Amino acid sequence: MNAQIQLKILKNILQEVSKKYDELLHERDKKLQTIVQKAQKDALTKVCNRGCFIEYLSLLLKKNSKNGESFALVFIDVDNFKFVNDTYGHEEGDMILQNVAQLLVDSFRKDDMVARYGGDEFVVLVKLPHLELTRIEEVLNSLIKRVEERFKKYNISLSFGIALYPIDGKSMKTLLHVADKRMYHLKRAKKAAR
Amino acid sequence: MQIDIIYSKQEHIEKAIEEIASQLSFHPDFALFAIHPRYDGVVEAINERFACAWAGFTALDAFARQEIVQGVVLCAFSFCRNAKAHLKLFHEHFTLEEVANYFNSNKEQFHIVVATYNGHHTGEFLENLNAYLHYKPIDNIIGGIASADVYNGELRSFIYTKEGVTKNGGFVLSLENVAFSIAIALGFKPYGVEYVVTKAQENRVYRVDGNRKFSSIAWSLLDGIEKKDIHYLWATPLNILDKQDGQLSTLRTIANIKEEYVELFGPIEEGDRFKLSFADSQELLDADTQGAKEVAKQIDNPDIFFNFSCVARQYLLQERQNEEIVVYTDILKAPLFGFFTFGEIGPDTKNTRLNLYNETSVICGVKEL
Repeated sequence: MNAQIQLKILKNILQEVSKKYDELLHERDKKLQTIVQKAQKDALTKVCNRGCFIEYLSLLLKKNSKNGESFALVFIDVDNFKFVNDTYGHEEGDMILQNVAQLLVDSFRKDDMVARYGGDEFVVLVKLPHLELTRIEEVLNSLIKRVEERFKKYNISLSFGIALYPIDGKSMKTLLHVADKRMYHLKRAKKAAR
Repeated sequence: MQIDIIYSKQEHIEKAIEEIASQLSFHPDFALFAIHPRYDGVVEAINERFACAWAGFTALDAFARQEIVQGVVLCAFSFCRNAKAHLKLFHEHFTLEEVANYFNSNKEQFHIVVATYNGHHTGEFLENLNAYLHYKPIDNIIGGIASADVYNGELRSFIYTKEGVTKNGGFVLSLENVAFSIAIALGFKPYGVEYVVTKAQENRVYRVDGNRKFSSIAWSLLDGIEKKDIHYLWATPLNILDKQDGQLSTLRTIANIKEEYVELFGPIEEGDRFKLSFADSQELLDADTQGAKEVAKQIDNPDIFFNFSCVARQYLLQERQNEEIVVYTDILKAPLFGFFTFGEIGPDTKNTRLNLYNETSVICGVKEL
């Protein structure tokens, strides 16, 4: 066996070793992706969790500060949720949250983001001009109707508040504050109307 | 211990033995012969000339001091003080228990084992023997598988004793009251990450890392080489890793590649982990030097040293094959006897078991006490 053949064999060994390293790296990336995906999901409702939402919103703010594209931040709260939990138990409460999350996902587009903000609060990031403000309100009102019908027995509904970027604010804090405030206005108005 | 190493390249066995006997300077207590498989009538020829106890084995290329001989090589022993030689023959229907009992009962002695080549069965037998060896450290056994060639349709890997020719078996030459020091030279460097054997049987590897065909990997190592000669893969034996510490346990040479599996010159098990390895001739010789120095450090002025080096190593060393024994004799400064084997026998690195090695060079210095 001459030196040329020896070199070719060594080269082939190194190629095989490098291929195996690539496979291992790919496998590791896949595992990592699964872990990250799991870490980003809310365990109960399977929509994004708060951490993932904040990370996404900050990226969106950074990106949109450059390209000037607008979006809407929708804050949603389940009315009367505490009563359901106290009266019917946590299992029923969890079932309602899972249903609301799924209805939210079904109501918006794939590239809009639905997340559970905590407890019975959800947030949605809607890219504009896909849906203009009035259209968002229509979607939400139709959703409220479906929720009220589906969970008539529990007497629950949804309240929402919308903040628009960049009109209502350019920071995360301001947008969340505005949307939250508007949601409580609506909640109070609904209570007063009863 | 007085040692004489004499060889003959005569074409007829009677003449070769006669030539050797005529050069002997003393009456040996024991005579050990390495005999090229082309010869017939070996037992009769030796019995006629040698009255002492003796044993022989087939060797395509045997070592006589600094020469590689394709003929007959004699290693004659004459004991000056307390050393003694005992010969134990195992032939045809011997069992693991019988062989193990012999070693267990003679654990103070130094043993040289030479066995006939029987495909992968000899290797399996030796590896299975470990379960029956009841003493530690197992650091007193070395040897090799008799090399063979086909003559008139017959694979000739034989053991010769006074009683006759053994085609399936081996002998143990046990030396009593001797000091000895063993080293195992490798030279192959492992490359990359580990493979896990997921499907294997005896000496065949079918799948690694789940469902990956090992035959495809083995073929890919010959990519870009016009003539796909399996011997080229002797440059890249599998570096089998120890189950406990992940260090080298043994090397396994690729013997053949079939569509579904790769055949090795030795057993392999499912769950075994290995790396690919590679060495050029200089790396092999560097390892030989290191091995000889280890032996020299442990034993002063040995009376003789034995070397059992793999035929695959011989193939890789090519025109430098003679340098291996020159390196040894230069460092150990004693007469050398040995041969290029079809498998080397020696202890593992921790002296806890007996291994059948591939592509190694087992060196052992011996001195009468």
